Amino acid sequence: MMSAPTVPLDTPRPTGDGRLPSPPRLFTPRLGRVCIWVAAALIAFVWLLPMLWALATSVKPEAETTAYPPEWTASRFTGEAYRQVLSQGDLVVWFLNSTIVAVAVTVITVITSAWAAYAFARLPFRGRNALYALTIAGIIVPANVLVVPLFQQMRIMGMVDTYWGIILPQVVAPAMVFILKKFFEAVPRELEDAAQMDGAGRGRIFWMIVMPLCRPILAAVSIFVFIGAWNNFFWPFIVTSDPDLMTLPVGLANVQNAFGVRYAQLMAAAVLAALPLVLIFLFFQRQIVRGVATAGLGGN
Amino acid sequence: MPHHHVGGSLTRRNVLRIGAAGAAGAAAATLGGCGGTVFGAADQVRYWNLFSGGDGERMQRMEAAYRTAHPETNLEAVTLTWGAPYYTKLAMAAAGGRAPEVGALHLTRLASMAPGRLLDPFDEDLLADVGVRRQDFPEHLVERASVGGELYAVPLDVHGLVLYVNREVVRPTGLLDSADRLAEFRGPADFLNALDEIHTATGEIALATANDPSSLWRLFWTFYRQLGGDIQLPVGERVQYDRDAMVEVMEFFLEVFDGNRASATLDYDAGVAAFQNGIAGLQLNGSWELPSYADALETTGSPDFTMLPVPAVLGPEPAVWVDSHALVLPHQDSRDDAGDRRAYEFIATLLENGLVWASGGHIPVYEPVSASDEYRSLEPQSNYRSTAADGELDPEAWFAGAGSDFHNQMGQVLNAVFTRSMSPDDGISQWERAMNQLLSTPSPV
Amino acid sequence: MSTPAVHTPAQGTGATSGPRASRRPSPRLSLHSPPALRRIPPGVWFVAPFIVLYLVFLLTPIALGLVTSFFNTSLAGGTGDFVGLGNYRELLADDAVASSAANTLRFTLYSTPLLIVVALVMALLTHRNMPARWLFRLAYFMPFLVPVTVVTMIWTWLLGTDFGLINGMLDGIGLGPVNWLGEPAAAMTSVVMVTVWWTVGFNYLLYLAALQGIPEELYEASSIDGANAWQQLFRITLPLLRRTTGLILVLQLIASLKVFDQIYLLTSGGPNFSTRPILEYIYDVGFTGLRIGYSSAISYAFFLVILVIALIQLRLFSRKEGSA
Repeated sequence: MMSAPTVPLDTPRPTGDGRLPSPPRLFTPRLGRVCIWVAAALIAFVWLLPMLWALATSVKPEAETTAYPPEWTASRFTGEAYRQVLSQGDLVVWFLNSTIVAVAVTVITVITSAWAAYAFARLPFRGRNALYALTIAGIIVPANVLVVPLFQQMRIMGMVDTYWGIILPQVVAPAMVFILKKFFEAVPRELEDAAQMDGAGRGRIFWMIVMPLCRPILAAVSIFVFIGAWNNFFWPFIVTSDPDLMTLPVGLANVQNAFGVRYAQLMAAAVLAALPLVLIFLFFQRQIVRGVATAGLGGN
Repeated sequence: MPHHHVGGSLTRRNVLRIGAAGAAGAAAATLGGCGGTVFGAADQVRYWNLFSGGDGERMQRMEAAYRTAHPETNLEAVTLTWGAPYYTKLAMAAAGGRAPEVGALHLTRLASMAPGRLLDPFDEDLLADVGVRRQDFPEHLVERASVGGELYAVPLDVHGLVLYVNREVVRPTGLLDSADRLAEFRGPADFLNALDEIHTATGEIALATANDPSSLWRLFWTFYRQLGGDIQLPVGERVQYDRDAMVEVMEFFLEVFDGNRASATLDYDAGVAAFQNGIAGLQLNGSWELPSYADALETTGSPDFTMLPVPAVLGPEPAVWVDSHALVLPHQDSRDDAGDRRAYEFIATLLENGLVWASGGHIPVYEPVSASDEYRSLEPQSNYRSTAADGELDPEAWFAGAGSDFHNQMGQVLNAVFTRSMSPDDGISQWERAMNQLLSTPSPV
Repeated sequence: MSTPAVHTPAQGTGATSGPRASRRPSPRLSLHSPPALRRIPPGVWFVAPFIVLYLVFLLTPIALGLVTSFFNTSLAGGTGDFVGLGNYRELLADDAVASSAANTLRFTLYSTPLLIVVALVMALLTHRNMPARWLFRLAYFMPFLVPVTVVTMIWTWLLGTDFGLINGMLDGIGLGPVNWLGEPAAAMTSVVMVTVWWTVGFNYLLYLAALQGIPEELYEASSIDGANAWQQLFRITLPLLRRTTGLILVLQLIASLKVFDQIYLLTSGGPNFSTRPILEYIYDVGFTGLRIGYSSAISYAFFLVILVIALIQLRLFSRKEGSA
């Protein structure tokens, strides 16, 4: 069966003679659980605080945002900042750009990596081992350090300030090939052999048998790649200067220019920009957790 | 240069462009080819600028004026991100020979754009044909816009540091009379006292500023020039400056930034918010923030503000930091008269619509506009008209100008000194080393 | 450019493709392909798109960077002149290279332990069922999903010296205002704090998955033997998490050395360049300063340093794995 290469775990070791000294009963188990819960809740509260403050600021009238000492509530709630931000239109453009870029990166990355991984797992040809070694070597290449030559190259190729220029440098994922290869190797060979007897070509076997069998892991890595591409700042920031082409993170970096100095509007924009992925998380929580856990990919 | 238009460039603009070209082609075909070229290149003007927000809105109105006057020309305006990204992009386009016909530029950035290599000079006869002559502009700007006797930039405005005054907050202190005239300062002590009075009256900081490198540089240069200080940046040699004057300016600001008179820790946004929300009675900032406050005044009834020239505080003369937005011709491998004429006409149209530009706080410098009664009756713009004449542009070097490494180097030092994590002396030494290092590297332009 | 970093899980998982694979019947392509193409093994077609992208977008910049680093190329155009090792000599004498590399290193040293310990604590607290656990998980992980710009917008607002919430709260308990982003020591602290808040959720999930992989029987058995919770933590849980910690450490080091986004957006490398990481200096020199040649040399030197660190880590890591 397909078992994900899970996060490495040390194999459980036998615990010697197993005799541990009798525990001192400082806490009852119940009290212990309450303490743990309180600690977890406290950390959660601290972690949520910044988002809550952004939310609180975003529904204040502009003139009250700089009240000092800070107040959580203003004289009245208002959706004015949201209306203003949305009516500027930029946020919508950047949102669309992010979607286009993230979807394209995900599709291209997953498909090209899966093809390559399948070949490395199943389809021998001369030079395959050398190519696989090359791929593995690519895993440790810290690509975005070479942003300056990459930019030069994009210039020569005429891809600066284009969608392709944003997308293509993000799709090379040797690590993904490595992971998927492991999964494809675990697909029972008998299924493929049977399909081949029936006269199915390699392409057909790949799409009709291998890919469906690997759907859970493909979903997990896809969502993970999508998040990475959606949130990627550095490369889109370097390669775009036309605001119409910017993705959400890059466009927002210029939000001050766009909206003047309006803290309520800034925070409204922040809240709106944070929403899509938080919603995606709520829907795809399992796949995302699995994506992190199984692949361990994504240099944060 | 493979596929610049179609191939790999999946930009929406290109898609639109292809679509438009297709439509134009279809139209031309039905008309049986009655003159005019099918593909836009021959009768279009591409214009790149870095104006967003209030400036962007006004620039679009000026572009619309051109479109109305020249419906036969396709004007394509692109707004790019302010600062280093913009200049990077403009340089790259010019280096590739596919630059837009017209670009906007800070005049102080001219040297960094390699006039002659990345920028083409103006043909002054053709310029005169469209009604624009050297003598229509202040001499010192023309001088800065010229290299080897040739004109490389046409100034659109001067924009400088001004003093924003919240009348409601300041008037009770007697600093502002009923005709909106500021009390005269006889030296720094007077100025500090005035700030103290405002602070006593409000309990808040009296003066809002900003701690980003460019803003700090503007403050510094204003008061350093009032003391008569100067900075020379000769490539291949060492930086020349007046150390005593620098120390004096820094020490003056250490007194200003005492947490009551002003706060050295406000970032740009917080500085604007402090004035806009009626906390600080005064602000030293560029004239371009006028639309923000006018907008706030209109929607919320405050701040009740006016704008005045930065007063002479450290010296007898009211020197003040300024820069100038100018229009340039990025280098193109081949130029033709018809294309040049369209570009010049576009520039002339922008100059003639200087009143629209002035409504955003900028000071027009094209004489037919700057001398006009309409401009002179604009409030509060006409208050700080003198800034154009008193203005001091940044020192000249390939690494200086708006949003440059020079701003950053000096700005970082100023921030460290004003927040008291570095002494003025150490700060100046650090800056001097950085300047000498930049001067010793071969100029990339 | 999100080349995903990866750990090397179970080097011997499942089948290997060696001898068995060579017994495959000769592969075929679509019936419509011309005979010459049909003779190319299908594996080549499957690998081709990936390899092409790899060559163009991963290998080419590496080669181009090396070449450019020997020229004084300007962004203003042209390749410039060949300067040999001139750029490398310059970088050795450039104080800004040394100080920004030191900033990157400081950031790495401060943030890595926190990102491990906080994640571990979070995971230990919440890996058992409890009321509202889903909310805690969401709270810990959510910041990781937020674009970096949103993170820095919110934190710039929180950390504001004059109107910020944090100074407001400090004020409330009688502590003086802290110039969070404007004073060197505080600025680095702020950067680290924001980074922990933003990215700890990723490590948290890794630990959570590892904890859930520990068989419950181990705990049951030790409970019967009378072990208390602390003893279980130190004798069972933590030893079993060693591998995960190693993995997180590797990922974290590589990611931290490449830090740019949050620092650029929070402080632009200030105050007085005290937080400017090496990657921002590369950006400043190349894009703001137009000196593509020199900045390529700095990137290349840095690239080699990271590569060496990654190789050493890989070595250590696979050795540890071998001995486990």
